[in-house]
Amino acid sequence: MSEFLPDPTGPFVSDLFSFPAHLLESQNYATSSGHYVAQLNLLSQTYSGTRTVMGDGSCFYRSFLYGLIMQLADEGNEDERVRIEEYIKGSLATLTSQGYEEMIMEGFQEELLDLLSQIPPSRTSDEINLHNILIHPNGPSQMSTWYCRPLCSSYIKSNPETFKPVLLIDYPSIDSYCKSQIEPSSVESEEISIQAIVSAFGVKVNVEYLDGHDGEKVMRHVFGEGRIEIDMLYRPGHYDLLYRK
Amino acid sequence: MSTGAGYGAELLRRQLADLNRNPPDTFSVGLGDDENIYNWELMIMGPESTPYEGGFFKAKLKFPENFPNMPPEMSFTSEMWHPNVYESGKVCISILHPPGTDEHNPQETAEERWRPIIGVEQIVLSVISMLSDPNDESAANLDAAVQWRDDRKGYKRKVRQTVEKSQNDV
Repeated sequence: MSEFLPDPTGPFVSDLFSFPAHLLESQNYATSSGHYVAQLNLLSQTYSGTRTVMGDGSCFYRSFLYGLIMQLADEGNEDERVRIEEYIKGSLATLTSQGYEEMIMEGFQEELLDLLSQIPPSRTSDEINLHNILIHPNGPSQMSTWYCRPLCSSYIKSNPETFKPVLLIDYPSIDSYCKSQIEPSSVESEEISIQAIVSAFGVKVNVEYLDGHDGEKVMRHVFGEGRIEIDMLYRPGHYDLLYRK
Repeated sequence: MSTGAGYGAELLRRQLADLNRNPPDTFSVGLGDDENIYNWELMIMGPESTPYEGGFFKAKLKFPENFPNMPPEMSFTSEMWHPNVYESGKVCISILHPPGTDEHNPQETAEERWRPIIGVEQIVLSVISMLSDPNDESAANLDAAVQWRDDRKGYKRKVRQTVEKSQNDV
């Protein structure tokens, strides 16, 4: 766990802050013994903005969904929006075939379809509106975030040949991994579940690892591939969103 | 107090309607007198081929405001004699424990615990299965647990008394 703890109560996703100034102000990186400040300065060559994400164990899924939905509002991403909507519409059948209870899953799926239906035709004019929908505590975004977890499990269960070799080292079965590491709402994502969720959606996620180890370089892990790319900052134990210059 | 708006209430309404439309064989559900969607009342039939057979046990499910992030609490309101049910009636079962919160219970693996996608029917079926098959490694009622282990005859006699009582209450 990191000594730099995220806010567990705060808005789901914050306003856009300038990077790295906001992180330097809100966290004690400057007085830490790690090479955090040097790494943040390196990253500032590429990124100029950040949104911090609530630290309740779902920050990866929340960052992912926020980054995705915002970009689906971009003009030019109409095809992606249709593709993702089709994927979500079809997801219920896949989940049901894997033994997830249809009536329950439908309750979650409808919230995500509702969220997708609220994407405005143009981001430029309606970005604040969409942001407010995405961070509304009683809006569709909370259930949509949770729905990403069974979607993630379902992708792993549908592709056992990819995941079995890694998972069976530490877990008795794929089902056991999904129940204990993916589906509880408080369990943070790690590389296996990230790989699964980005593949399920057909989206690319770049994660910059702020680990404080080496002031000369920052490790970037790239997950999945797709036209939509979401940039994130990982400070061990927590994910936030990054925005390029 | 919640007004019953929002996604948790909606998920509960959906399940209540479904359980009333397709009633399970082994239990029935409804809302309490206050019609609050977060407070359910149950009637559970004692499972066949167990000492609980023939019983009509009343219970309550109390859902938290942040459901389904956190699980409901379940309590029997009928008298219940069982190793995993506190004398207050509160049920102690893994599926109703959020992950990572129960240090007293290291035997419990994370995969048996609460997840937001667990349905009410699954909860009640787990409790019914617990009636048939007590878990003596995590006793909530120590006397019942000891009796279940060391004096099965006396345990059955005591359970039969609660069954008769539940029948008279109906």
